[in-house]
Amino acid sequence: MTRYILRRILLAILLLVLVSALSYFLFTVLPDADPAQLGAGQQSPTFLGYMKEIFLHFNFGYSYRYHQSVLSLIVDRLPATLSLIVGAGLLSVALSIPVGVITATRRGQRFDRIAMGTALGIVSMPVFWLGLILLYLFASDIGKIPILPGANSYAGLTADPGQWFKSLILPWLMLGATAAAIYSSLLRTRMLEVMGEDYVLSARAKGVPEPRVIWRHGAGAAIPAVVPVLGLEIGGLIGAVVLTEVVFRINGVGLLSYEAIHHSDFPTVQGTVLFVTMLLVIVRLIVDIVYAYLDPRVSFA
Amino acid sequence: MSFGPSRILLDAEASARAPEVDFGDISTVSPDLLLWRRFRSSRAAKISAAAIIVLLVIAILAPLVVDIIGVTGPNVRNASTLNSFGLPTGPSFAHPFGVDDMGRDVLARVIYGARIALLVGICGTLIATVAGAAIGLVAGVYGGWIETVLMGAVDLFLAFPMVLLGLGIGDACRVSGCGGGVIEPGTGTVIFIVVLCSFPYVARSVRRRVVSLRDEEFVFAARSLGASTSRILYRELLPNLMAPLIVYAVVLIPTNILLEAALSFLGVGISSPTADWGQMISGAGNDILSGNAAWWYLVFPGLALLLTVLAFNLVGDVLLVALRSPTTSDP
Repeated sequence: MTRYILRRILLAILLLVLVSALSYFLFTVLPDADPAQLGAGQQSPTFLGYMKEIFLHFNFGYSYRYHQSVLSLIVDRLPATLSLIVGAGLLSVALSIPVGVITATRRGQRFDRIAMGTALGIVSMPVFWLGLILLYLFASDIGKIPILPGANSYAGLTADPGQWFKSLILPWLMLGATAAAIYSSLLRTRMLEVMGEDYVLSARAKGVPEPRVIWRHGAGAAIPAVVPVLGLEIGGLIGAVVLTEVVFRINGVGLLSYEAIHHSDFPTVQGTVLFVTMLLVIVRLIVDIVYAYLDPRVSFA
Repeated sequence: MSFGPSRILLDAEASARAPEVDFGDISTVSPDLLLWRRFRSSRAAKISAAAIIVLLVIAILAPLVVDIIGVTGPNVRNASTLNSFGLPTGPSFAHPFGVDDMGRDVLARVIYGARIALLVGICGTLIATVAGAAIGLVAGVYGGWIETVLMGAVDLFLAFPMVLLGLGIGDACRVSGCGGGVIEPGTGTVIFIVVLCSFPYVARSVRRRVVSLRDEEFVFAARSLGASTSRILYRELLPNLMAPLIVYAVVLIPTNILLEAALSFLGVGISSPTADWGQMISGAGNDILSGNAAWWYLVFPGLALLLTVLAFNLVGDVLLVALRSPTTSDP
């Protein structure tokens, strides 16, 4: 186990270095006009200088617009992004576990077809469009049925907890439903596989009650099996988080990079992309290690 | 959003049990034929495929279609369609989808928007599938350090969140393109981003399939008859990969159409005045948020996007399930 964890950590460090190198190549070498020079006439750093700044000084660049280091800008806005992700994540887990398990046990029946049809519809939905429609319908300032705070109403948790909660209801629902649509159909597929295993058959044969077969023997094996795929899905959902922040004007990291694009603040764009990617590498490392504890077979593979 | 990629990886990882339909004696049917039969047995997939073909025709013949319907072109600004306050007017007989804030016909722009969406979605996916298949095949067949390096590179691209990678590259290449003039700003850059974001999924899945195929008897047989590696690659492995590759492509197209729209929405994709769904939604959104109640130029491009993506997803869904059933993997 220790060897496995050590190997994963070393691999993650290597990945962090390579990710930084690739981002230097994609954002500085590849473009024909050096974006850093277009901005403020600065010289863009050499490759070694760039890597040194990131790994020795944790310097992700300097914003033209705010005259502040990009890292401090990101840290300021991380709480808003995390509030969004944690709330939507909890909601999606609470939705997708029952939906994924029940649809699998009632395969082909009405509930399964309705739930999976809805999931496909949500997945096909452009999340930014859905957000704007929701605002048009329900936002308190411009909505037809003004019941919830609209865009630009986000307040920090410590500043105004009530406003924080109310302003995040719509974004949470939207993002949570998007994630739940993906997770529940992944879980359904896994669950269908697990329910066909021999040990499920033998559990039934020896007279274990059906709910216990479904939840203990079935879901108990299917839910952990989805976890490694989640690590990859997080990458896709980050995109949805950025779009949600932009639509609802939640002052998070996604909105930071969006505004930077429209102010030609290239270092901020580049810095946020790299920072979030590196954060994701670390999150995936943690997911992998936790998973190895849950399922000891992994460390022998 | 973003659904296909993880489903492709899941497919390559494992296969569900119990085929839903019985096709008689499976052993006489090739995987490609089986896939086709599954497709034909699904009404939703057939209707969706018909809708996609209609959409393709409309997109290709956009100028003609706009002419026949009799609305003004996508970039014609008609001030007389704005009301006395200078606000756009809603759906009417002359403009079925209404006009936008500049007096441009929304229906014509939605029709022209299909061109960009399908061009980027289909071309980008095709390039990504070919590139991904080549990388996955070479890695799987040669193994050793070649496999380690290639798959390491693939994992490196997978480490970046799709939309953020697009945001960075799109912003960097927005002004004067990139790659020494090869990739132009606008459509070229968006296709480049789409390819970078989707080829890793194809490469990974193809490699997994190759790894399981390369120990099959027919590959052994070919090798013991003295076939070269390249012959095994082209004549033995590639034909067995055609069915999965087609499915991967169909599953990736809707993801890539959504990615294109998202990038244009964020301002790093297709820029004005070219008609594009994501960019239309972005413009409408700004107006809606500032209190303008002109819902029509927000609703229609989004509906077009939703229905297009849904049609591709319905076809992809049926094909993925067919591909995943065990009867296709061991005929």
